[in-house]
Amino acid sequence: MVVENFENFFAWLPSALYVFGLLGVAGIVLGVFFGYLVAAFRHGPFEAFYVVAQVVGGFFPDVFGTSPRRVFAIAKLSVKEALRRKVVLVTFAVFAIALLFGGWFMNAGVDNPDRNYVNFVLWGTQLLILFMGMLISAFSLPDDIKNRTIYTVVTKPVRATEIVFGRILGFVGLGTVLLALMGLLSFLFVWRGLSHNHQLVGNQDLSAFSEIDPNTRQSLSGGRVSENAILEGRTNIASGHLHSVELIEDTRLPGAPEPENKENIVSSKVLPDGKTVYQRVIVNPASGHTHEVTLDKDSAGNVSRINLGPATGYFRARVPAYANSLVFFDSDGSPNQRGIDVGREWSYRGYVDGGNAIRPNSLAKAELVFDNITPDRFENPDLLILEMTLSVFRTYKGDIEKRVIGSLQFESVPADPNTEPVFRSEVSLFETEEYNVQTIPVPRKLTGKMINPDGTIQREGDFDLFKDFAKDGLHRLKMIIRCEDRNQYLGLARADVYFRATDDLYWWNFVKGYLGIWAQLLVVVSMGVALSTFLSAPVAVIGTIVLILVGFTTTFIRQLAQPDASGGGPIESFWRLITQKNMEVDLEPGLQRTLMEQADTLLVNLLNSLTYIAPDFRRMNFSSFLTYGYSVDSSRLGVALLISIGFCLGLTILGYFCLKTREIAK
Amino acid sequence: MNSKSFIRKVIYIVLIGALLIPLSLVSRPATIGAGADSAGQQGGKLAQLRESYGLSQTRVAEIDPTSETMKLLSLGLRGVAVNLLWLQAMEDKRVENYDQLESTLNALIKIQPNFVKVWEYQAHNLSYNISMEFDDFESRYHWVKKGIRFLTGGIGYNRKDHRITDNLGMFTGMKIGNADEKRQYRRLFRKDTEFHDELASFIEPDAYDTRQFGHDHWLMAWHWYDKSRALVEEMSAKPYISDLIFYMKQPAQKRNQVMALQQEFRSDEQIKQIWLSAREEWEQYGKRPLRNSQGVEVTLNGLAETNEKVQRLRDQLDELAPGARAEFVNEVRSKFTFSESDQLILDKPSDQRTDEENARARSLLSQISNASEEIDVRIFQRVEKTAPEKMTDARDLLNQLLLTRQQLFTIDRDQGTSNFVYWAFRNEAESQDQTIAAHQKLFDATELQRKSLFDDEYQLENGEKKILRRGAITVYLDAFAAWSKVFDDFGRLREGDLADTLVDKMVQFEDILKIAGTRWPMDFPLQTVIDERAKNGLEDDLPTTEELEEERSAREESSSSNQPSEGGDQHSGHDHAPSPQPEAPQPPETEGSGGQQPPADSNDKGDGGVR
Repeated sequence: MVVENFENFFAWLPSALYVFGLLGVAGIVLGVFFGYLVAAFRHGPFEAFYVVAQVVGGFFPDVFGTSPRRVFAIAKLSVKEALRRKVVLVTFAVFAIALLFGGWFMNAGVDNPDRNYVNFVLWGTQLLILFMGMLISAFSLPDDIKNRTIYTVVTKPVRATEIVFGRILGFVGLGTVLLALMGLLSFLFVWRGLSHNHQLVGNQDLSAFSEIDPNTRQSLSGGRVSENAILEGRTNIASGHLHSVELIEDTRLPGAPEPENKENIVSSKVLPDGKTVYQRVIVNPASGHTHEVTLDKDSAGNVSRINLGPATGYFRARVPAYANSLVFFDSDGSPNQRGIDVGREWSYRGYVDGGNAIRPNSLAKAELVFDNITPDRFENPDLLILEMTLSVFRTYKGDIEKRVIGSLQFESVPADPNTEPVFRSEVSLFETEEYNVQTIPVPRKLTGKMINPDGTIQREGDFDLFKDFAKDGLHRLKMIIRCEDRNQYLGLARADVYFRATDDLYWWNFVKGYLGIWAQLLVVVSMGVALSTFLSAPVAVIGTIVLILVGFTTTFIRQLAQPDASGGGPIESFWRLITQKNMEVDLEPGLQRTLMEQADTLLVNLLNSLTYIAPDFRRMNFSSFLTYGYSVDSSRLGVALLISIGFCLGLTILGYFCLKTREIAK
Repeated sequence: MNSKSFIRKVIYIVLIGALLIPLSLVSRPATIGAGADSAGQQGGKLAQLRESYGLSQTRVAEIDPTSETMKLLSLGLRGVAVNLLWLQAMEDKRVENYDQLESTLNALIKIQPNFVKVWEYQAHNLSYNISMEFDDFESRYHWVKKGIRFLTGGIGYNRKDHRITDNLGMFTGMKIGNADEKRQYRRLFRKDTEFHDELASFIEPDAYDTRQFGHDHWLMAWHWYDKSRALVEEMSAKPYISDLIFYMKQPAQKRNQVMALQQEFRSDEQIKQIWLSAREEWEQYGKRPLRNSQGVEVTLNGLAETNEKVQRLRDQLDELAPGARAEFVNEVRSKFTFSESDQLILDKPSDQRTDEENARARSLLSQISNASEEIDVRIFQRVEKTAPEKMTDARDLLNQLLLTRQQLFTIDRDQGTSNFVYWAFRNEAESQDQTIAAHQKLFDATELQRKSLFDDEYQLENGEKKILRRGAITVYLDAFAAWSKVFDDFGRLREGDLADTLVDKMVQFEDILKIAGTRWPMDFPLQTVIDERAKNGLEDDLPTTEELEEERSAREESSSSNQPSEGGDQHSGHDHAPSPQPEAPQPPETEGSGGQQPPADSNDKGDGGVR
């Protein structure tokens, strides 16, 4: 999964508070200024001072006098009113129909159907719930005013804060119930859609397997087989895919733990050297999942039936322990933040080279430093799971049947390298699996060297990953990745390599994904209510749509507003367009150019400031986490919730003042 | 005032209602099983037009619900939705999110299913552009299949468009068979029974199962092109490319198939039969009338006949104005001054020219041909002036002559475009027993080389060598000798990719010689091929006769200066010795091992045992 923004709630909070503060101050200044202008227009310039002072002065009593009982009463009323409008019912009906017929679009047989399913339900839910939130919130108050039903409320001792906040609360509450229902249905839809079973082709026992030619080591399909496979079979096609099933020989060293799943062991024997060989039946992953194997045996211990269980691996919430830093080193050994650019359009990953004929021993490598590598973070501390999604760039085809080879090495990061020794593991080679999440088990005991600061070797042997390598205060561990094939390159980004900590609960992760949508709903409803306090319903809807669009395209707008954008700002770009000057041609200096540049600066700043009127909705969107099976971390969730609450607060205040200044609310 | 407004509204409503009637008549969908003679059941004009263009969704029961739902979901903003999805697809590709790209394309294509270029472009994207992004050849093959699978989805929507099946032919044929990974791809395809079953609704797997060689993608491609042909010939589908190219593709697949098989398997009777079949199809292609975009219809093997016709018509025209041609020819000839090298090219027979020379000759002949046309017109003008009563005949002859000349030019050009003559020649040569035998020998040599069995294994019996097993060097020489004979009979094979393949094998042979410490034989059977190629500027990195002679002289000088005794050169003496077997030169002996006795345990098998 691509992660470009590693959220850290506590690192983010101070800067967020600062921006919020600035926005608040700007809002107050602008509010007072425009309030005064409106009041001056209505009451004259002198009277306006008193009116503004009265409205501002009334804010604090209204806030502190806000009664939760009345807020809930308004909320209840809003819920009833929204239900009466049938928008909620229609939304739910549309969603239910979409789920009923959604299977048509799921394309069984795609490589990762789970992604399609999760993406579909999340996208559908998000679209419908935000649309519904926008409609019920934007139409509510204007319709009440138009129908004069608002008088039944404002004639009661109800404060404007209570009207605004009560409505937001009511609509959000209703949306929350609907969201929960949609979430539940989505979960069932995904679960039902992905559930499937396979059977072996042929007999349901080992006679369905065929031997693997030791010379070619090719599978029945002409591809690769597992290194330790001795027999191979395949399943029938279900849900548009099939699996290859193998009988493998799993050899374990003396004292090594037994396989976790004992249900798939056909036989085991102890070799003279003390190693134990387990013959096991495994199902190779396909379409992002596998199936557990259980064996029925007869009284003689022979396998009478091979049973393939339901799909496993779809419903996961991996907790990645990402590196805190990634530094590349070029072939000279000089550090470089971005790695080698191999000319790909997408510069997300940096590359390390594997040397060439002129310089066979390239010093290029990628160093990742992980913090907090402690046993309690991992499900099995004796065997850590390292997951990688590496990219490969070949400068020549090489051996077509072999994948590019990379290597891994671990190192301790001593607090004081001048006095403390460094632990360095042996280099282990691996074959890359480009575009797949590659799993590499890292044993707790690493063979390597303990090297003194002067470079002499103090000891060689096995060292403990936690107690020796990551023993400093921060439990820091360095990982070095190199490319071992000459003239080939390995590419990686920080999020491409991580240790897999204990998985999160899937259903809880699903809930977190929906919490992101809830945060978006809160902002949209707040926008709708706030805008409807001073705009008519259709205009409020359009305003909300604009704000949502701004929120979803914040990154794009900020890219447009880059001061060093090629071709200049909007006016300069337009000028270049009509005068047919490309983006790289320098314009002639002069008054015309200066004017254009100044105007562009103004417009670009305006465009940039526009992005602050709505939150970045992408920060509240966790669909990619659920789609790719990663846990939504608490920092990210915290940031999203705080942003939405902050905007809700600001919009409530805006709505309060707007409603307060309307004749109707007086 | 109110009544006026009311009347106006009523008129509007009536007009709207009235317009709805023709609209509904025009748009009415057909019902399935509709008889062709029933206009009512055929649906409205739009449905009939869709039917005639082979677009689907003309019948109620055939409407694809997914596609229609997608169109409906776009709320009439189909163009906007298409643009957004295209942008999304490009972004997915840019950020290497290929799973998502596949989903985006599946949504995109549901919205514009009758736009054939979209199917072509995006299938190409999947099979060519994205597959090559993967490091693993199995993944690459997987994505090649995705493109093919994607493209098959377009058949149902565009039932009368041969471009989809044409592309399927290209993807299954060329993408699998011409890639760097062709050996691996072909292997995977052969065993990919799921994929064969998946496509069984289009082409029965048995149709491209070559039994002992397994399922062949080239043969599958042949069937895709056959579908294209059937669409155009039997269903009157609009042809989008010229006849020359359209009809060239299908027979080329058999040829490609058999060439690939010869690389992988030992040639046998079945391979010969495929060559014969390829030859037959190519001959049929040569006989097929091909019409080009200017409306000129020709047959590719009609060159000689058309030439004769030109000659005949010209003679007839000349009879109407005796002596005029000689006069004009002299006049025109004085304008043409060919350089010495151009004249040499023109004097050379076309089958002895190199490709470059042929191209130059074609250009020169075109100039002459233009001049000839000018002469014909001038003869007609002469007839017009001198014998007006013969003018009608002259005009007819001139018109016929100009048309036939154009046909001649078209045949010549089209033969060049399709490489017709070469392939006809190659098909004939390859389907001969001697060529099959030469392939067999070459294959055997390659296999021996793969097993590292370079030298002969022999036993000495009564002082005579008894060959137990021939090594790669001997078999290679045998194969090259066989090829030499093939080249003697079919000289034109010295050009083209067969010669390139043989050169590759010669390079491998040279490598084996180096490993075995043996010199390149002076009487190498294909030495003339190496020399010719070197003369043509090709750098094959193989020793030419000149280089061999120089090397021998240097060696002789060196040996005479180092070893003045007469018997000093005995180890390399075999280089000069004539081959005892004329059809298969003797293998050069390993340097310094010429007189080596086999060890006592000479019955041991294997390369290292006996030399």
